[in-house]
Amino acid sequence: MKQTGAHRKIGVFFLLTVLLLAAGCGSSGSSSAVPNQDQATAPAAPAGDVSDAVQQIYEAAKKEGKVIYWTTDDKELEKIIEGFSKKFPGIKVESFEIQPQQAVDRIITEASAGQTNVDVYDLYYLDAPKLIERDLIRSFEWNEVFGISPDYIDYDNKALKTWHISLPIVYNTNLVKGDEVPKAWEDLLDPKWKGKILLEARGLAFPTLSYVWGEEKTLEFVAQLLKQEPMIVKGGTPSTQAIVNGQAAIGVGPYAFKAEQMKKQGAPIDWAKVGPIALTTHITGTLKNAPHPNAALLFAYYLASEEGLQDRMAGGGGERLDAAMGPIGRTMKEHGIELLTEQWEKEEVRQRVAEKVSEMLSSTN
Amino acid sequence: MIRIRDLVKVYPPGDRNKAGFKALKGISYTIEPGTFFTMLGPSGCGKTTTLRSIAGLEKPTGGEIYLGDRLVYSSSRNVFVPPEKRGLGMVFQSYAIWPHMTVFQNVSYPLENRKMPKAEIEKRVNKALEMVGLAAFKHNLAPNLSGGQQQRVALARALVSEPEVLLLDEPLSNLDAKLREQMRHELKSIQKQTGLTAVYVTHDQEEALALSDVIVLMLDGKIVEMGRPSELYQNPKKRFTASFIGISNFVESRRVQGSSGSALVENEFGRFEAKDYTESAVQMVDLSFRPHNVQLYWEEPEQNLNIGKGRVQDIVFLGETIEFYVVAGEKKVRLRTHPAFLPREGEEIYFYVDPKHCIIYGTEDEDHERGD
Amino acid sequence: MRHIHEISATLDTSGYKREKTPISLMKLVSCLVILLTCYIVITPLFMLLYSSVGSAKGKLPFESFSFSLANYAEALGNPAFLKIVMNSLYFTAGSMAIGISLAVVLAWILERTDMPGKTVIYGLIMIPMAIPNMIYAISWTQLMDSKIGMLNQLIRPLFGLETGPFSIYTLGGMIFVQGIHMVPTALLMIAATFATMDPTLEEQSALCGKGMMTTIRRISLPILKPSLLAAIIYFAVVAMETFEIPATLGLTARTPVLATQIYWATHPASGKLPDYGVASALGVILLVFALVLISIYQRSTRNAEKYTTITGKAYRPKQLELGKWKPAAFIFVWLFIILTVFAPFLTLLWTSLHEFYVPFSWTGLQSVSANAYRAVLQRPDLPMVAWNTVLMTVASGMLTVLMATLIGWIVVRGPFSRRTRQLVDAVSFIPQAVPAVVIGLSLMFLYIRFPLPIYGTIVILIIGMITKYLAFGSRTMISAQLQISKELEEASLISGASWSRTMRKVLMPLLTPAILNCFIWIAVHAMRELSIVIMLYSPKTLVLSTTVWNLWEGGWTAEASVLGVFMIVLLGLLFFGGQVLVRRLTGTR
Repeated sequence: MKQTGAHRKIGVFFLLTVLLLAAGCGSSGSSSAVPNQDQATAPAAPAGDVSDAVQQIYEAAKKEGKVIYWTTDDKELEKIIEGFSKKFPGIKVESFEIQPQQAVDRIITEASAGQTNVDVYDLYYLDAPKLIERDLIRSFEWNEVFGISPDYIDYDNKALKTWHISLPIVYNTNLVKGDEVPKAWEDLLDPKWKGKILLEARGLAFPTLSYVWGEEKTLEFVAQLLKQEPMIVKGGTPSTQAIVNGQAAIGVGPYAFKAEQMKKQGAPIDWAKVGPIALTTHITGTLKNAPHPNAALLFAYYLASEEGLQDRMAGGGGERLDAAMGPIGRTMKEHGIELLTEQWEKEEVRQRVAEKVSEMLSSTN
Repeated sequence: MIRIRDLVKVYPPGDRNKAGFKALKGISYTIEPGTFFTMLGPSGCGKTTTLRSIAGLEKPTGGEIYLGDRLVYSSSRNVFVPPEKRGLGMVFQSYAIWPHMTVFQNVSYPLENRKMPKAEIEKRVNKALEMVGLAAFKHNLAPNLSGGQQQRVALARALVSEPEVLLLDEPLSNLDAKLREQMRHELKSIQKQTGLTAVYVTHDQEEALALSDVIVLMLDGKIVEMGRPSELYQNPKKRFTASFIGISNFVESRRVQGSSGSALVENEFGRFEAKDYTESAVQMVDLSFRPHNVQLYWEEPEQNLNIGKGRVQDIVFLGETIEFYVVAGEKKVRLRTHPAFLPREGEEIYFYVDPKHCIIYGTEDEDHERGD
Repeated sequence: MRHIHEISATLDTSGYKREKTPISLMKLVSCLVILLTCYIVITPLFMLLYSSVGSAKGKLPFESFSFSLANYAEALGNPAFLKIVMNSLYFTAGSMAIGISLAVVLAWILERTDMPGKTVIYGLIMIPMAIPNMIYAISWTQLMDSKIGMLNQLIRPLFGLETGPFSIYTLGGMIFVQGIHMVPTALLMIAATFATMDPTLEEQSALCGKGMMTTIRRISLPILKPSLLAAIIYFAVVAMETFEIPATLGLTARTPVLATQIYWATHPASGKLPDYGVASALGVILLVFALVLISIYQRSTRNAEKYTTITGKAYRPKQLELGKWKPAAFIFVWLFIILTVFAPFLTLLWTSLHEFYVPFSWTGLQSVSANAYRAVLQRPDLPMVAWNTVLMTVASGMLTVLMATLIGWIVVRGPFSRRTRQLVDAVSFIPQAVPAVVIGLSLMFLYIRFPLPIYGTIVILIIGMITKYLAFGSRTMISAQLQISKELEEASLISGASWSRTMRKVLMPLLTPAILNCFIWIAVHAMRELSIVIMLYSPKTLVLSTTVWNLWEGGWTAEASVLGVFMIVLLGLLFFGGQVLVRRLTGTR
């Protein structure tokens, strides 16, 4: 009757699932597990003729056929991939969207089992040491072979600095008008902003600001900010939303780039041209045991090159702010704003400040 | 024929409520084929445990069980036949009708999976349903039936595979009085008709007397007494039997003259000759007789043996009989007689009990000591 | 009557018929299921214990082992630890009180009264389960933020207030939102019991002249004890370890709880590796808590027979007439639905129609655009994402439910000692207390070394889901199994049916409503699950939750919301379908 009927359906459904599963297993690939490969050696930088070396790498890369790129946001890749394919045709770019924290975890865990499933990484500046101390990143003569400016190379040739996100003071233009707009960081401590301030939960910006303010002053500032009964929000996107919809009038957490984007679409948001502004740098590079080493070199180079960065901006992505390459960077330069990027030599102090700020923000009153 | 030998059941450790509890302490009996066999006793006496052991739903700790010449359980030989292979029929106390099936599906269930042709199944189911009078409800969804009807479905289901043995676990206890009587009749007639062996469990002694060919009375995991209903009623050899089956009076008395087989005792009511079922030569014994086995006199009769004297108290009119207490000193006995007798409160009265109807047992304490 | 000894003598010489006892299918399947359960549980459990004592700072747990209790010292030595634990306890107790009592009331109204439109209500009321926690919390802030919250804006003029009156960034606000959030799940766990209660017990009470309230209090609630307790224990652990709502609301409220500590440990600001050591130490504390709860549960529900409600006697409870209570009940139910279903859904819909967030207003309505929908539908990876998601959720659902059903039977009726069965019960519950990130890490670590190709495939995602949701499944199915009188099974065995036949023809049909509900719950949650999936997904196994997450992190709120809208619509239909199916099966209207 009805009962046995439904029962049979469930049985059939289950059988189907098992079959689908088997099919799924087959197709979703064991291709991700790539065994350890002998590292293809790149030619040593020949004295003089750079493009020859590049040509050799390209030939090898063509044979490899593709490059696997782990990125935080693949929406901006379209133009980049176009440009790359024009410059180095015949190499397919396979992108995989993954956030830096998971990416680092995975690279380390996979390496521990002798696997490397990615060629080119896209991480934050401060993520590099974790991979470097495990000897997972390849160092390469980026300047000698590809002609990348030494200003944009870091960590002993292991990382290329690509673009920045910036953490200025951001405000809601409906709630903060005219000369209420802050002209200095101290303006945030004005009692009229009590209960109207927003802070991102990890206290982004402040650890880097300590480069200029010093440890004590930074911590004191944060303590004072906390007395303003701020709204504490986890994540860049919700921070931005909170400002746009008026839950907070002013704060630190949204990126200037996002604020600009929304402003263009008519949102009541803007960023204060107040320095210093802390920047977080995106870096790229290639892993030591990359499955497609030569294609990797080419793609990483392209990402960090002038052309690549122009492509990124054209595709709606971020800028290399300290080079005043794009509109935001130029605005910052115009206003004479000091831009602070992370430096690994100063990491110990920054780390201390970061931990203390975190503690303060996550504690009770 | 069903044979049970030295059945023991102890609950295992880990069962915090019951660890170490001995539900069965060595039960043995034989059931002849075609008998209506009842296990009777108060809650916790082990009758249901025994029944479920026969069914295979419980695994005893020791002993043996034979169904016919099949050994279905033996602790020493490590044999245990699971319930689905024992070929029995069973009616549960809660009927255990499957609520998601119709009456027909419930009853046909035991016959499915036996490679029986559908026509044959239908024939047998119809026959079983006719036997219990539910043919009209064949296609009703089981839960929509009344309690009594559900119970008949359970019965039909148990009978449909024409088993040799039918087990029944207090099947009538959830029915109201009138329905219970009706079902009693039907059960008995079905059993006679089909000639199957019925193993019945109940705590209701009236039911046991009405239905059974053989009754085994149980208490605390042991058999107290076994026999035909009339024997157990009229000549109970154990004190517990006398008290559990029917109503009995117990009067503490002093032995005056002892000889095996019969005895003379004295108590506040008088001096009585009785059958001696005590098991030792104790001085203090309990004299027992049934309330209705008396002849009543207003004046002192001529004999003085087996005559009790006392005052009437607490008269209750029961319709067919009248019941009252007779008091002498601290002792009370309950008597019953035809309502025409009209006793009066406080009056002096004499009663005679035939020595055939008098029995002496050890006192309760003694019984219990010997019990474990 | 021949003497017994004579009889046995005859038989001994002729030999009794020795039956062949084949290897019991029942024992085989039971042992297999138990082994499988242990296998599933031991991986994350091992990782949890191992990293709590062996994980060194700056390293992932498996990179080096140096035994020390430093992680515990750090977790417990935090000066605010006591306050954090107190916060957690208040939060847990409060949200459970709200969530479960609301669920009981709703279950009562929906299962035992003549409330109209039940199928619709049931379909709708489950929808909040489909809304990702983050979005759910955010939509509540839209409603109750002290400045811009819509509810506040509505109520303020009535009282002439400047701000408020509701402020959601308080412990009270957190408790309220979490409590409400629990209701659909609690409803699922409890409703099945209501639906199959033996009405004669209540009828008796009514005959004795007791009013409805008394009957509920003294008859109905005690019978619900096992499933209520199961729900309570489940939610106690969930509330202790859930972090999205405390994270979204608790930060501003400066009310950290245990779960936020675990989150911070595993999601530090850049520069540090996640501290699985401390997270695991905190997780172990949580685990101890869970085990204490489960032993309380086992002690209270010792006598299983007390709670059987499906005995084969009158199966369907009578519906009570609401009478004069009807309008109140109606308003109550629909208000609940409006606040928990329509409000978040509309918030999501609104967000999906604007490229950046615009507060609700007339001008806002004018700037509506379907750009995000176009963008999402044009995604080249959409078919793959959809397919993977469906495959993963359906497979996880089916497999988990199957295991949970068998575990339910084993724990309640299995051919093992009580100790063993209680152990199985506890083991199946353990993963609930293990932080999701630890589960993810343990699976990543194990399967990357596994001889079979599981890492990077959809199978590892399914394993992750089964690991996480087995606890819920087993709670639900154990409760469901407790309700079925063992005599229904025994009658089948006596009738000659084998164990597997009994399972198929008697138990499964009776368990079908619970099975269906369980499946739907697990499928919905698997579809939404992020913490584990995000550690295990790969280029070929993109699923919905990772796609939404990446969009959200990138600030593409509109597109993330579009996917959210799709998910809710899809799941809403699934619920409806499921409800219709369940109600047809159990013959209720």
